[in-house]
Amino acid sequence: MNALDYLKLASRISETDRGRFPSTISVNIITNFTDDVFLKVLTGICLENSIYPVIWRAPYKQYHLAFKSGEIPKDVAITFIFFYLNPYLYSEFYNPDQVNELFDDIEKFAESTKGTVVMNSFITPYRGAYGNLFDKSELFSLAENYNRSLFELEKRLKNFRVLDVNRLMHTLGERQARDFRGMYAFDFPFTNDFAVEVAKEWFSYIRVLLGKIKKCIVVDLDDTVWGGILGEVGPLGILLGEDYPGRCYQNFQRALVEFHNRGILLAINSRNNWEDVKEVFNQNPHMVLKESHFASIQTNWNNKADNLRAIAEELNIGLDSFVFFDDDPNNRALVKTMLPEVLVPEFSIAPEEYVNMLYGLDEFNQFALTEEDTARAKMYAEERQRKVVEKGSASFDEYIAGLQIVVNVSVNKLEYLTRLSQLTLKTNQFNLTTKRYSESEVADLIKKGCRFFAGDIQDKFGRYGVTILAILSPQENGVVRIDNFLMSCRVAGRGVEFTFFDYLLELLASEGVKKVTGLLIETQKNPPVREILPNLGFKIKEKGEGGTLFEINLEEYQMCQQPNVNRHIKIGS
Amino acid sequence: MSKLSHIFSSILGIDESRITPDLSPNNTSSWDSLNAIILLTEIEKAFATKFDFNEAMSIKNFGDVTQLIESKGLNPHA
Repeated sequence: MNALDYLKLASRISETDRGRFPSTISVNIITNFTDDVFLKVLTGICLENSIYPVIWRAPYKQYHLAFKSGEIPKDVAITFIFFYLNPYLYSEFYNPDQVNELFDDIEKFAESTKGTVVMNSFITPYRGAYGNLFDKSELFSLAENYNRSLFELEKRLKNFRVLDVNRLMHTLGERQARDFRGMYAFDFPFTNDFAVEVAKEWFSYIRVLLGKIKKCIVVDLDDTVWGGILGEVGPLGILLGEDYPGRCYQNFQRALVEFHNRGILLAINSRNNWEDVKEVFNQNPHMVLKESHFASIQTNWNNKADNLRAIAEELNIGLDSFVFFDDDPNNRALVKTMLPEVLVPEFSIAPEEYVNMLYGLDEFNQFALTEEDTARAKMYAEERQRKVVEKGSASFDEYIAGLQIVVNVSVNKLEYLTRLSQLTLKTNQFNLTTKRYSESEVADLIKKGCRFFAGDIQDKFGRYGVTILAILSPQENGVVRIDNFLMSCRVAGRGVEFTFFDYLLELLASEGVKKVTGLLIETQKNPPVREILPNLGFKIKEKGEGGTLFEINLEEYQMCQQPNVNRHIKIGS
Repeated sequence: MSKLSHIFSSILGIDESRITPDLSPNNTSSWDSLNAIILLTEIEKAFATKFDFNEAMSIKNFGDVTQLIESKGLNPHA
């Protein structure tokens, strides 16, 4: 899709179409130039992704007033700010006093909104009167100083993020990004193509807010992670190593390992015999990817769509979290048709383009990386080993006992703030209400007396990290409401949730709580969570459009046998 | 659909059948000053050409655009 395609989508939409879209997002755009193209292109990108955007824009050149008057809507999901400073046109941004005052206003705004604020950094000019001595240029140091202030602001505020716009400038090149006639004549200093780059990057934040990011890369093998057909040339005959094109494939493998290290899961979906593939892992010295990098391996002769379904089931994540790389256009077409939710990038490209294509995807963008993120891919690979143990166990109970699971529970632990918010943003299947909370919203709820019980889960194979969470409202007349309960899919299937709930309910009973209620809001994705409360003995109290309200009397709970609560799972702190 | 009609129909949000030489800001509400800039830049990009400011400002209707592209030695119906 190019600028014109997005403009076309945007030009054909009106308020009456809103109901056709499964989700909406509220957005503010604040700039110091004519930002019409940004508005339209961002609208087009949202629509392409089946999201209806409701966008408020600061009136042209009135951003100062907008901040001062408080007219900028605070109740929006995300605010994008983009101020440009350049060597070609004098602006108020040459004056640090004014800019510092503006930064103060931005900080105040960010503190007052529950949503996220994303501000583009200032583009550092690369040419000016000082030529090669660019560090002597006043403007260069101004931009650097401003950017430093922004990054400090990012450290201070949980909901403020800086978008490094210089990086986007690199992707197009300054000549392709600036439009001088536009700048002087219309106060639109950028090309439409640059607007697309920025809007796509903006959209990647929206994607995070809506929990639509990609989590797993599934690769074909032959002519994708190595050159040649393994079945024909053998484990040492494949193209991989120091020469062209083998070094392209090897570097693609390196890039995949980088993604693994930042927490993106890797999986194999290949028409090959597993014995042959295992030989490559064991014998080919040029392999950068190891068997242990993969969370799921499907090597067989089934069709690739079925294999992707099997991988999704094994990893317990939705198909819309997958990216699939395959050099065969037929396989890509099949997957696109049968599983439209899977992202299938165009891959009929020369191997030297592979890494660049992979790096170019913004579907993996996140607000922040937590410890859990970076460890995640490793954990899933460990999970594959657990499955091997499971197959060798006589019973489920023996398997669970053998795992030696411990849930370390903490309450309102501030170090976990990023992770707590992230759990609400990313969890879809085991999520009672799918209410999403930013970090500042989590902090706000804690201030209001809510308790975030977070479980850091481990077993003998490793740590899962903070993967289970219950948010409890303060007690009122002996009743506590479960504001939300969620659990990462990677700890599902072991009954940990029942032990965790048992601990919470016993704790609440000891505090004198009589009744506990919990609301279930059904979504397309959360069938797995629906039986948890009933299985603990919760009864339906009310059922309406807003969801199903469950309730349990704690005295009754304590009298009943709890067959689902596994005593082999321990609670720690 | 020709490149040029596609651009006009996409940006102005109108059906291609409405694109005739006398299509103008006077009879098309979406052809406002902001969309005029977008039309200009997208046409220049699609035809790999550049209009000078006076040429751009002299555009009063779709017919003018066709003539302007022709005057650059390009085929407006491509």
